[in-house]
Amino acid sequence: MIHTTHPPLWSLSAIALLAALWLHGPQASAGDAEQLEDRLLRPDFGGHWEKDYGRSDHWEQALHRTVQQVHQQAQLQQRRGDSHPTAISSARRQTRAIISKARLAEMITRPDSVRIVQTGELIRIERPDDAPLICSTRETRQATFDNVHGSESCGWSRDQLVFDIQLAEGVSIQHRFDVEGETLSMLTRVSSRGSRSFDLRHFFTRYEPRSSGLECVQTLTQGQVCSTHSRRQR
Amino acid sequence: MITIQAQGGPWLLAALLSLSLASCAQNPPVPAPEPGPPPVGAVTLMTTAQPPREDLQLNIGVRVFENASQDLRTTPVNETTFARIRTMETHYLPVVLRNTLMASNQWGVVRVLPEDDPSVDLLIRGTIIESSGASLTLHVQATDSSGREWLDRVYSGRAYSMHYQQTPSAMGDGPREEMKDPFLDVYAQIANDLLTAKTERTERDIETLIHISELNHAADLSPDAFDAMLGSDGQGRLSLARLPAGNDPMLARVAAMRERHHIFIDTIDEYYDALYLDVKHLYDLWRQYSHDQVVEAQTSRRRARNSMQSADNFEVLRRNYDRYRWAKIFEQEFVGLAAGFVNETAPAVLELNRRVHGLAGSVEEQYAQWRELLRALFELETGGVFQGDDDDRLPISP
Repeated sequence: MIHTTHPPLWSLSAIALLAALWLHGPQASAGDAEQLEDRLLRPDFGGHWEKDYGRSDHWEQALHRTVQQVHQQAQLQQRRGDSHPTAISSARRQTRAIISKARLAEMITRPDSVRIVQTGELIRIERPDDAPLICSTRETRQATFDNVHGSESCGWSRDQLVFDIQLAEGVSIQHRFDVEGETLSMLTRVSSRGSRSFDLRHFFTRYEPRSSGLECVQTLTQGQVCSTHSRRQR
Repeated sequence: MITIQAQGGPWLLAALLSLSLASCAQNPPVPAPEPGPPPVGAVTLMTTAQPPREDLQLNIGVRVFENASQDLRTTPVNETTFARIRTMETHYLPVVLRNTLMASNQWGVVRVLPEDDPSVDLLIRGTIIESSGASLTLHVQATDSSGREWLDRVYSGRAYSMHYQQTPSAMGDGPREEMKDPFLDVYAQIANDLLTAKTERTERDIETLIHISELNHAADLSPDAFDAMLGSDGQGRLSLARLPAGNDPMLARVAAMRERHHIFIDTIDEYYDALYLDVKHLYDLWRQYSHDQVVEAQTSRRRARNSMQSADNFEVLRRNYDRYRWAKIFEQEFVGLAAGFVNETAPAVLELNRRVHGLAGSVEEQYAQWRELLRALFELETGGVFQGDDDDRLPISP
């Protein structure tokens, strides 16, 4: 793994694009300017990222904290004189629901690396053993998947890229990606109606994988066809 | 250059399908009927061993189809891919209709054309309302050269697993088995309906129609000379006002021009046929995957209906997430196959564009140029002075 300390890539590309705009001068069309502006607005998520376990939440600890909060709240209610059996059973149900959500959050965020491909049009987050999260870099809010088993939408909240997934039985998952320099943060929130949500934050560090030297193209009859004609792609 | 083939795409899809369909093996899912016209069902194409007498053969032009279908899977990220497939279909499906009409042996020449043509006896326009591996809905209109409508109907057809059992070799090993179009019944119904419309007309009607077509084309070349021979009822419907004399030299020249024009539109038709032959194998495969995708979506819907449970249980959450995850992987795989289809058919589509659009501009411009050129030639042959510098311009790029 190679660690480098250099200015954030997005700020470098911003400078390069500004220079391009300046050099282009009055010839730049409104469309070009809009496209460049879009790219300037989005931080650079592209690259290979590996999990920084030292900085990331440990799910058992996060679960412990959340369960403690639920118990403290229940105790507080008891001290206030609300010792109604439903309050106690509600706390038990909340705890059971939080444990389930925590286990789901852990399962979803288990992969220790992600690969992000970012172009002027889209951003694609590839996770092992899971479907890629894909979003346009242009639209502010967009529906990206809709099926009886769930729906997904994505959008931008300032510099954060947010994916919202709605599953059956009212369970929702939110992934919030944020990049700062060489650190990618992913906050995963699992929620359901009528009970406390569970948050898990992971940090990733950028790394440079060994280049395979292959360039691949998708075909219908032969799947991915790769050749050694290669240009490095982040 | 080293080439590696990682056969992830179709095989992953096949694996996913076999997983999802395993539970339904005894009762294979059938695409659910959707609102719209009822499917045409099994249709036998009405053919004849004895083609019509030569002077009663109607020439048909099938225009490149319009597209009015909306793909529900389209998102901002993949809309270009699906749009390219739809565009390809607007060129491909008319060729299937043309082949069906030719196979019936009930007509004269049938050609696929990029736009309306004044020389054909019958012009067919089609709009794709819906197209997937499981269903096809087309709106078809046919109008003769006199402006009378022969057909205006929406046709719908469904394809089932049995239509895809003659699976073409995905790897291209060995001889390719020719796969029948799964929606041949739709095209057969269109052809039969046209035949019915034809049989409602007398031989005299057909002869008159052919004369109108000839004069229509002649009037397109030289309005001054031929317009008066056609009458109009005010609604755009034409009738014969009078016929030129059989030995009219002008008519002979028009016939010669018509022959040249037919060579031009034959060439255009061959371009569409070349595209059809180039992409047929891939399109068959693509539609098979598309059919599987529709079936999988229906299986998912059924499973979802039967599984409402408490969200507090981790196993329920895990199972729900897994279903969502696999549904999305499946969808992504399908989008990947769509991209693969577009990548693999791109050379054929580019070739069509190169040949049809060519150096002389778009095919519409070429038509305009060609008709201008024909008019000019006609003027020259009939004693007019041919002025201009366009005589060395070729309407069709080689």
